[in-house]
Amino acid sequence: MDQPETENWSGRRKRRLAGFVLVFVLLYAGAAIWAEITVARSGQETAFQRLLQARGETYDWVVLGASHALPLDYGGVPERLQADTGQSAIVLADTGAGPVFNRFVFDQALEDIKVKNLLYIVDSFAFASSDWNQDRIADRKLLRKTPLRASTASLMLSYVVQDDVDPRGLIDYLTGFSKLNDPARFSAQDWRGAENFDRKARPSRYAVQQRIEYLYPQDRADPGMVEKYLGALDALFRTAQAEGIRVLVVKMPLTDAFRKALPDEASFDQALKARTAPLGIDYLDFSEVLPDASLYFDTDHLNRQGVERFYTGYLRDALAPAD
Amino acid sequence: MLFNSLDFLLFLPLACGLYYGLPAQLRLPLLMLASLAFYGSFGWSNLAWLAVVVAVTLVAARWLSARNTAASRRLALTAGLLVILGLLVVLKFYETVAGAVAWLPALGLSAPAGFSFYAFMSASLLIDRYRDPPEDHPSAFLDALYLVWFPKILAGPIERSGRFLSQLAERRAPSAAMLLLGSQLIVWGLFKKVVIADNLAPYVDRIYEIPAYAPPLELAIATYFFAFQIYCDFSGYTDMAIGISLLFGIQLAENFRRPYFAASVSSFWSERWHTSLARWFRDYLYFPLGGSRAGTVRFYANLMIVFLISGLWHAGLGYGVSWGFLVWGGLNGLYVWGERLLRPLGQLGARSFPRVSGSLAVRIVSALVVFHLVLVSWVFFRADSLSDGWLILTRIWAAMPEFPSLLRQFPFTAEHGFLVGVIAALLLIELFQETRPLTEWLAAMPVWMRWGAWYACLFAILILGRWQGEAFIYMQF
Repeated sequence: MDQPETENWSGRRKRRLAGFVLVFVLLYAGAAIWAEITVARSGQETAFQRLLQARGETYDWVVLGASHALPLDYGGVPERLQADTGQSAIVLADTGAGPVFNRFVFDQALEDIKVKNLLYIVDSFAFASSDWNQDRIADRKLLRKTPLRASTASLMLSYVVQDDVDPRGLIDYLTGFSKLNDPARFSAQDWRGAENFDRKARPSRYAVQQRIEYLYPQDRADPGMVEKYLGALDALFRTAQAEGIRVLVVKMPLTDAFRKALPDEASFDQALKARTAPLGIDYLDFSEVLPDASLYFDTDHLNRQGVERFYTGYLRDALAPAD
Repeated sequence: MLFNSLDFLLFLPLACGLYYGLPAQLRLPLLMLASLAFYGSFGWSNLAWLAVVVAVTLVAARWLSARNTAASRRLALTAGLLVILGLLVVLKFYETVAGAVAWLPALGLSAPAGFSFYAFMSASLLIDRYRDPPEDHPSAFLDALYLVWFPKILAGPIERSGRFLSQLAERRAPSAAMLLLGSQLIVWGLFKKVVIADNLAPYVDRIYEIPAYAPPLELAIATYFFAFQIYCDFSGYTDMAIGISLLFGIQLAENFRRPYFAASVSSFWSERWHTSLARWFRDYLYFPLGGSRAGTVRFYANLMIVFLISGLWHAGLGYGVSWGFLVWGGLNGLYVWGERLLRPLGQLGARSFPRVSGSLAVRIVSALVVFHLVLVSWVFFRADSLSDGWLILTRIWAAMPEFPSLLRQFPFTAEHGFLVGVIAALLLIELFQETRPLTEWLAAMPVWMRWGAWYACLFAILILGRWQGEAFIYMQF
């Protein structure tokens, strides 16, 4: 052990190792650039992909929220709103996105586009677990479709430092690892909202129960969790108001079966109102207006017909410019 | 901090860097610290269990020195083994027994990761010291490092103390060849784990979760896939453990040697699959029972005892406690019995048809038969219960005549194609290894081809690997 290791490691060997590593790094960089272009920059599925395409634009409405907000995009609500009221809108919601993740998206939006109004689609589940918040920022499935940008990297770093986001997510993002390595390869269980949008759901108590168990993971239930994430939402709203952006909070329609299965929804509503009222933010609860399961493509997401009914019956008026 | 985690990817270069950067006298203390940090990363309470095993082993080992009387040495060995193996049994089975016996309270006991492995190594150290007592007190520090050495602590190989301790005492610097071989083993082990085993796992889990509803053809496919999943998971870990140890100048024992090419069940278990465990059972159980020299009946009984205890050792964790593990052990014992009983017939065949018996065709057929016999036993190993295992086998058996037509109509997916492809790649590489070690194959290649092979393997790991932090199956045993 005490003999000099240089005996084993001649200069030629060291140069060869350095050459091997250099070629590897170059190959990796080439693969990462290819993946960046084909995976992250070619789609419009995630909020960050959309923001990249929308840079420099001005929007009357930015829609944030979780998957319940996505049918608005599938159903062409931004185009309808433009035609009906002359207002532009962009949906920046993402599946399983809680207030911390939405604040992350909103911070990026403030860098990329000009926003006049914020429509926040609120879901109580998004306050029930870190899965939908810090963990979502480091989620490989989303990182795979988050274009590499200096501004996003800098934002992510601040969330790692201040919001307890897993630093491995930042490393993944910077190295483009998840863009090369598909974490959902062969996964048959991914949510395919856009593909199923024209379907009609068959009511199923079992499916509702499964969905509730998924959205509200009991093993990670923590009484302080809701308050913590309400605080994150509060911070998001204050940031918006500081930028002169009007905020509207909306709860989307739900089937009767799903709404009744939500755990402790009344106290969540109360806590939410206690946050929005002092800020002068309107909170519109539409959760009971469309209880018919045929207006949904699964247990809790509006289908095309449901979006049409919701838009014409409720949302258009709520978003109409004040005279 | 699994070998297939980002944390370990940072930990290993740090440990290596410190090791080579520190003065020689600080290197072994560093290895001890690194081992404790590695094991502690799975839960700091694990260190308490490890401390108990290490403390008991060191105290008992001290009494096993040649300076003490035979009686006190026997007492030290008995007490040490009783505590260590008793703990192993309690941690493995107490909660299951408490669930079945009303008056036993549930204590929430569970064995920490790798407990079986370091318990067996502790037993090995004590028995070896008892059989061959050292003149002087051996270094307690080195004994402790032998038990806690991080690459092998979770799933072996079940290293024997003599060779390991002499390497520590020698403090040999790793040669360039050792470092190269170590790196190759780490990359190859990682490939087996994240590209093959972890990609096969979700398919197997999905099908074995619903044995009554999954189509029989899928049950058969999942069973084949499981054979390769468990092999690549376990041997992948072992390859990495051996490779990592080589980076620090320590050579661990071989644990796998392309088992699915075995031409007999005896060869499968004694020479090719988890051979460090086979050697452990041979030296500490089979031989003390009398081995093959205690008469025909005892010989067959001894064989079966070893396989049944091996089955019991596998029960308790990982895939839960089930009689399936005992059946798995018993079945393999029966296979070996069958082989022994049919041996005269085989010898007669070899004498009568010497050219046929040594032919490649016979070797291939033998390997296929052995593979399928082992495959049947894997069903009981993987199924959630004995009844599930039986259900899977009977459903496959009943549908077998239909398989040719089912295969033609079966909606094969890209997943099937990918999984079959990676298994084929594994078998092809192992086929080459049967003739010559991979290192030699690589060394014989021109540089551009050698580097190409390395890059292909590294990029397969990066792009095709499943990096969801899947634990190694055997670290749960």
